Amino acid sequence: TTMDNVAVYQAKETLDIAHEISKLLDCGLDKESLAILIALCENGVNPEALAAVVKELRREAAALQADA
Amino acid sequence: MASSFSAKRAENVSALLGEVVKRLVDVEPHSLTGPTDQPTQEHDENFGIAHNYCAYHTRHHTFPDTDPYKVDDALDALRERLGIHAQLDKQLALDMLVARFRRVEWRTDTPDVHARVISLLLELSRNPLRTKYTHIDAMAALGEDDLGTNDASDRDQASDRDQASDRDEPDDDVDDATSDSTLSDWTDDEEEDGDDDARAERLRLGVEEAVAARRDAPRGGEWVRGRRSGAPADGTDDDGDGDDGDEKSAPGDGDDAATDPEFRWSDLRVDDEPACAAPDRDEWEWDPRATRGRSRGGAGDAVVAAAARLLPALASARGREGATLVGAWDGSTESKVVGDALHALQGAAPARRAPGAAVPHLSPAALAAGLERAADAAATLDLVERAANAVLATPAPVLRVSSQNNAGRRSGYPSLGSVGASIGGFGPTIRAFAAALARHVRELREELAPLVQRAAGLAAGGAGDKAGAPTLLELRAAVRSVAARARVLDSLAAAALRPRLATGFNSGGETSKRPGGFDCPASNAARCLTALHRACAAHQMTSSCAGDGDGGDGFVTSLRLLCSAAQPYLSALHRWLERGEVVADPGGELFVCAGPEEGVAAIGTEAHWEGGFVLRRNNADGSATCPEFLARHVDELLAAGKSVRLLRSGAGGAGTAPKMESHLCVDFCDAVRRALETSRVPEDADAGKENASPGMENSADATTRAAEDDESVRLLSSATLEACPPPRVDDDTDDHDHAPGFVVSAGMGTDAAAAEAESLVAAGLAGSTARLAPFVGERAEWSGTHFDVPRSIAAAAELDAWLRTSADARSPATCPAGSLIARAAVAPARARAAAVGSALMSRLREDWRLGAHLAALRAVFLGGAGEAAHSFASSVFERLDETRVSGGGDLDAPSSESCSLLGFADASEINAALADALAADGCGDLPDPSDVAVDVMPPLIADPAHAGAVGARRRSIWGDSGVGSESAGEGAARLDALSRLRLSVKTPWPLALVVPESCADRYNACATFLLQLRRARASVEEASRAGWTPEARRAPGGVLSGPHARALLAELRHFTQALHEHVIGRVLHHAWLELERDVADARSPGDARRAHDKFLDVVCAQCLASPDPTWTLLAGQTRAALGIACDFAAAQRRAGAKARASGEGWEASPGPGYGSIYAPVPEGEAERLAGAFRRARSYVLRVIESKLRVGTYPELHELRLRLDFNGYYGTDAGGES
Repeated sequence: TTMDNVAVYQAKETLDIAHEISKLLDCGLDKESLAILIALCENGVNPEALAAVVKELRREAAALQADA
Repeated sequence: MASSFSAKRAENVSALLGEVVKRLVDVEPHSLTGPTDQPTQEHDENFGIAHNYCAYHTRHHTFPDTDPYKVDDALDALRERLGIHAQLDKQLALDMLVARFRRVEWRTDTPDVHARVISLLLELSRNPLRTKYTHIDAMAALGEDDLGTNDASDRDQASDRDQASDRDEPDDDVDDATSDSTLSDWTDDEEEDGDDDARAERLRLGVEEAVAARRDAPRGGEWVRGRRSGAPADGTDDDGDGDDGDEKSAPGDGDDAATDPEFRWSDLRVDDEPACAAPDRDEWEWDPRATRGRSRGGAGDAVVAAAARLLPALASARGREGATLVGAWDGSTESKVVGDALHALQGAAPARRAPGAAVPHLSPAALAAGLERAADAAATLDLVERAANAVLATPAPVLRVSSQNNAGRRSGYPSLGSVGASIGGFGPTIRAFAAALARHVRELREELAPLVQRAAGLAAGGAGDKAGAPTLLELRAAVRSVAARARVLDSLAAAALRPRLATGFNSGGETSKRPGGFDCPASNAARCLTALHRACAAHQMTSSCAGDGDGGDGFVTSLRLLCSAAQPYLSALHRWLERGEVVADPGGELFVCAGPEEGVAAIGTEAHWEGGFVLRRNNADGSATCPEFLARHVDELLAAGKSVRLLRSGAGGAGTAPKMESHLCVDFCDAVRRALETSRVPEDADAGKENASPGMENSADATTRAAEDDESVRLLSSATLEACPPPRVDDDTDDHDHAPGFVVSAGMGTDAAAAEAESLVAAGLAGSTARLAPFVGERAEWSGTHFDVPRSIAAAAELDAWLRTSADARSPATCPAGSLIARAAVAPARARAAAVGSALMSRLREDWRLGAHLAALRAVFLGGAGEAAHSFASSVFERLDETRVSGGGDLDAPSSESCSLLGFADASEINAALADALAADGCGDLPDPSDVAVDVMPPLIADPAHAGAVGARRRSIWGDSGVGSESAGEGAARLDALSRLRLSVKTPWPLALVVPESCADRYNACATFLLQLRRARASVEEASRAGWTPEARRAPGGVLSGPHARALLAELRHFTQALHEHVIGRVLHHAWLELERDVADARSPGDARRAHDKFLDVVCAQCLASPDPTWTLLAGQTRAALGIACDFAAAQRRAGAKARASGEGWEASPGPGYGSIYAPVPEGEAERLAGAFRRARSYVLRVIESKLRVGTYPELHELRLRLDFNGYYGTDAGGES
């Protein structure tokens, strides 16, 4: 529907903006990951806890790659 | 309902976390992997662990709920941080993006999603300062031409855009939105035409159209760029890499999202970026150099790519009103502009504040602002270099020599007159400073060498070097430190050089009033060193107090220049303190110069001491022309040099002076380094020499290299002549343009060096076989022969190399500049002065017999040799009494006129008596009679100004007693007559350094008082013995008539005897022993002179000749009492004379003036004399008593006990009775 199209367009625009901010801030996030994280925030997940989890997962992934 | 909602949300979160794990850790559960994947169980376990970890830690944590205000604060802090680092473009982009992001509406019940997302991004932010992101990227991403002014219209028209996704023209509603297009900043012409709103609006529409076309380009295939705009070059953003293989639709299509009944973020397709498209060969090349730089993948790629992004907008605008704007572009690129700026900084091109070029992606204002610092630095460096070259291109000052040597002097060097003056040019200090300035300019330019190499494309040759052409931002960052230090150099040049010279336009010195157009070299040197000294302190205070991020560079730069400039001055000072010569100061910079007696009076004589070398004084205020930090010690240092000359003169020139342990320049350098290294132990400091810093080379190599580079140490002394080393035969590297015998200094122009050398040869100061030793130079090659580096020069180079890289010198807690220079420059010189003074004092005590001369003065003036003093005093007293007898023996009192002419009519008799007394004495302390003389001064005319002085009576001692002053003052007049005697003892040189001529007056004042005291005591003793003849004792009723006369005579005897013994004891025993001790301990002639002055002060006080008020009060009444004693004796003589005339009286004991008849003093007169005496004595005792009440004065306490006869008379009894 038209309303859904508007929502999608706005969401994409919002995601674009957020992605630009993430690039400016050097967050190292691609758009898919950023969309998931925004969804988590929208679902009430604490952003700081989420950020801590993401950082920990990155470290673990780097360790796994190093081990491999 | 609520529970189902929560469960659904939890389910969503769990699923989303699974996505997060899948994307970040790259593990998937079994259900998601294909059947061929191996090992699935391990993947399941890993995924479960990671998922559980995420679920647990996002549910159970200690983080507070997101506070939007704190998020705002964090954003503000980030903005401020970006501003501090001058990343204003990024700051602006952040503002734009956040403002736009906050206008997004969220269809969720979770509060503050904006703040949550921004907080998340801030938490995940790694290093925002590193990213290459500008507001241009933000504008391109937002599809705006400026700060979101058309957002509302965009939102309003969003549905229309979706419905007509393939449209090309923007919505006309955007016309209602205000616009402050940045195009107005691109050209000044645009600003001038800003009133034409319609044209500006059309231009803006064109730009919008171009931006929209760019955003739609991947779909339409109009143009494709090979790299996504604004993507970091380091590949941290991998969205493009992972999307290459996807075949997904453009965002405008919205197909997938439209089919989803409920929008979900995780379902959103984000791979619609045009950057994901493959590079197109039809890419528009806007600048070949930019392409070349981009191909290297350097740091300039982002800026180049960003510049290229806006060119479609320009191309779109070209067809409209923007045609003139784009047409103004002359093909310049950022690389070219930056290269030009670097060339200007290197001095290879003139510094231009306005580059005169335009680049596509920057407005002229932005470009000018970006280049401003570099242009300022280039202009400043150029100015400093010109000032330095102006000094170095000028010949050094020439020492004036005798007129016989004037023949053949080059034109331009005025005729010379007297010895010692210098004319023309700049002295070694100024030249060393200029050379140091030039060296600093070179250093600053060398710091920019890497950028210059990159600009020239030379740096790409290295393996793995991907740096492209330097960008404007890199230039700005690199020039920041250079500009700051260049400003410091400029300020120092302005302060240390004359104003016109600091601009580099005054090489001829045409503004000076002195002949030849140059100021006094000493004034120039003093101004230079003083300015550098003050600059050190100012920069140190600024860097330590304000914390302005200077990092101590200003202080170190100032200190390095001061150290370099001070070397010639310290060298000249060293020569002065070591040899007592000023030949090491050919430029006339030192504060000591040859005086009128130099070359006239013999060295070692008093005349040469006084006039051989004098302070070089300022004509304006008479102050010594010297650097500020030496001003307080110039007299001491002048005396030290003269002492060295005196010590070296000796007998037949065989004297020796102590050798200096080290050169002042070496001491200076060592002290500076030690002071700045106080936080490090010596071992560490030594170790630091070896490994000063990771980037610092070996200390020896650094020293050698610094010495080689240091032009300040290559300047010529122009007068220190040494034997010429033989020319090297196999030399094939010398500059054959210069004739043998000339030294071409690297620190001066070739012409100037040749002119200087030729002028010196013509003046006779240098011959064709003479080498001009470098003043502070090293490596002065003469005809190719190696010249060993003196220790002083190596120390200076070593210090400069250390200061250049030392962190200790830049520490805010380093030694204050004032004490640093005092410790480094002043203290060693003063230590040398002290050593010389000690040596001279030893010679004064031992070779020149200072102690014997002081003993002679004591014997002659203070009666130290008792027999000679008694003999001389007796002779003098006889002359006084003979005058009375020869005057006719008038029975009445003599008139005042006759009193003033008492005795000493013939000074030769007194001199003969003195010579006999000295010759007869065998104590050995007395000087040769030919060195001692006594003069008789004419009678003093009563002068109120002399009231209170020695010999002057403060008031009539007779008061209201009714006694006529004529008859009462006879004895006192004889005392006054003694004050007309003036002794003199010849003081041999150099003992006059300790006992100057001015001491004679004080010695004579003491001698007069002691003679008067001796005279009063002798008179009283004579009066008491006159009636001791047997005949008088047999006379009926006795001769001691009257109790007043008897009592007065006893009191007078006691008073004069006690006072005489007290004074003699204090003067000849206490004070003298202290003088001997002080002279033995004296470490310099100054100490001995002060000890002697102290001795004279004590002696004058005891002899009532001190200007101290206490002793002045005592002097009048004490002298009155002594006068009364003499008057009593005179009255007794008059009584005897009357008795003889009347045939009465008794035979008296033989004595001068008594004849043969003795008669007692009439009782009435004795009573009056007793009253006057007791008043005077009481006054003296009261003064002493009052003085003792306010302090402890052992000598006064002893005097009171003696005069008061242990309290017998009482303080007030006698005077008032």
